[in-house]
Amino acid sequence: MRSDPALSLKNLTVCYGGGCEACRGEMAKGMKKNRCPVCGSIWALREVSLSLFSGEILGVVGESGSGKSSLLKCLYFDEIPLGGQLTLPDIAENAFSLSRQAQRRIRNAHMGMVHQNPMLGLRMDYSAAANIAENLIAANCRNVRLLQDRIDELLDIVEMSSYRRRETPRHFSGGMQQRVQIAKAIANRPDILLLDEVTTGLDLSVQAKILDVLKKIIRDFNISAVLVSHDLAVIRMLAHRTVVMLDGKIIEQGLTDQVLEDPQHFYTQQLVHSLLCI
Amino acid sequence: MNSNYNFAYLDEGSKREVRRTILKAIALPGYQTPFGSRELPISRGWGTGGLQITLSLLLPQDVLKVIDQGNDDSVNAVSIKRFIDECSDVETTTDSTKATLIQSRHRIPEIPLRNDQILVLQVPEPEPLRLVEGSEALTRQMHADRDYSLMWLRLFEDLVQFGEITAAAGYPVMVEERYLMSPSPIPRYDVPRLNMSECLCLFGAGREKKIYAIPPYTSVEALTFEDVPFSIESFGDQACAKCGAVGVFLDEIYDQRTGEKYYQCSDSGYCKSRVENAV
Ligand SMILES: Nc1ncnc2c1ncn2[C@@H]1O[C@H](COP(=O)(O)OP(=O)(O)OP(=O)(O)O)[C@@H](O)[C@H]1O
Ligand SMILES: [Mg+2]
Ligand SMILES: [Zn+2]
Repeated sequence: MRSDPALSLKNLTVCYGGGCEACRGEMAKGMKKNRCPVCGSIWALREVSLSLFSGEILGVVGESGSGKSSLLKCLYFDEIPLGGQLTLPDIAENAFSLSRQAQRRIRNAHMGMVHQNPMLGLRMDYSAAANIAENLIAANCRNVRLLQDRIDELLDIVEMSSYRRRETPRHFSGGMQQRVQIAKAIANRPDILLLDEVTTGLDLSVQAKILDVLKKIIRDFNISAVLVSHDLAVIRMLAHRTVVMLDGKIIEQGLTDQVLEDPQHFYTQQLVHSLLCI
Repeated sequence: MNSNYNFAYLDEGSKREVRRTILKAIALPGYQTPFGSRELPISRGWGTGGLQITLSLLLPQDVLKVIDQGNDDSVNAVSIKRFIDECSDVETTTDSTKATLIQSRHRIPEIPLRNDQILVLQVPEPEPLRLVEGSEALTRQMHADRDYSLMWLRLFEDLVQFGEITAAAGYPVMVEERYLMSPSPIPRYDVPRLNMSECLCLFGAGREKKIYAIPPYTSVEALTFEDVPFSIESFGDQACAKCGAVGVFLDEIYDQRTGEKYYQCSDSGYCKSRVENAV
């Protein structure tokens, strides 16, 4: 499993609200919570470091507001971090300090994202086909025949019937919206998939089908993935390693079985306990 | 000429500012250059952008032509012409070969324009990306990044839904492979005629306070996919009922009494000169 990292992240810091002198200084010592008591800024991520190895699925768990989505948004260059280094294969510089255009090129060539909120991940007033084509077009495909063929291929992969291609996702069920998001995310054959709560809010039978589709995609196309989920069953089923986040920090990490069976940190113990009970 | 007015209405300072903006626009083909749009005794949305360009460039020796949807005699064209006449003595014409300055809305004259002529087009909405993005800050960013994939996506969506690209008037074009530009609401027929045109084309949007330009011999390409050729309106072998012209842009007209449909040149000046020369 352990080969070269598909990405490696050092000291990622994200602050919503700009911060003040107090919290900037406080950062080093470490605030208890992620919210600055003086200015109210949210330090959504505080010096987060992690690596994703090639072919690996990395689980990310943590309570609501712990910074999971912010982490994925930074990796997808959707959020500009206050600080941190992102190292990617064959890119000498810190990817966070590249130009917007360079970041967009990297994203189009190497990354796919499934957003927690389908409203952010999809254009609700465009057809499913156009949604799936969006990243292909962003990567400069200007041939309609090629686009149509690839869309058919992708609909097949996510097990969606081709006759729904002209419908808009607004009228789709949650599960169907996620299938469109997944098809869109893998359209450019990315090396890295960022999955934010792909199955949250779906009923169990739909969840299982979507997870099967994902498992197959990750295996067949040799993709590395960061998988964010509230659901420890999902994490247990898919993730090789898992990190646990609390208030913008990673408090525990290790092989998934280890983290879930024998949590070291008090918070993780509580989390595992509470989530296994419900 | 009413001597209470400045020559060409605007004061010389305002004209100079508009001319500077025009120079900048020419230096950046297709780029929407902001300018301090002035109030004119014509309401915004009725061609005040084009009019400010015309007034700023006008010289006493100019010969002016004003058309609206190809027509020299429409209410809008006539009122602009009358206004310019009030504040200058320049000669006007309907013959586009004689004009040195042509202000137009929704059409480019049928006879190819020359290098010693200037075409001024009135623009209601200068931003071609407005259709796909409402925020001015974001559309500016897209132009800066030359990131037009949302426009391509819009065209693709048309193909998914209708099997063809539906954009008719104001079809989006790439200028010098750099800026996406709205050619103003001209028909598709006129779009390829902007490419490598000998004549300087200036575009003015009064309400949106933008001027942009296509200098002579500039590449202008309609946005379309590799395997979907750009097509223009076709009138088959229909001929103009007045002058008999074929292969030109025609208007559909219904006879009020008989209800019968017939065709007529959209460029009335062109039609008129054909009729006169035939006699
Ligand atoms: N755009 C934003 N502006 C201000 N605060 C934000 C913004 N986005 C997130 N936050 C705050 O940052 C913190 C981390 O948010 P984030 O969405 O990353 O959490 P999460 O772990 O994904 O939570 P959830 O499980 O609810 O999705 C939260 O306190 C949130 O309120
Ligand atoms: Mg989240
Ligand atoms: Zn603070």
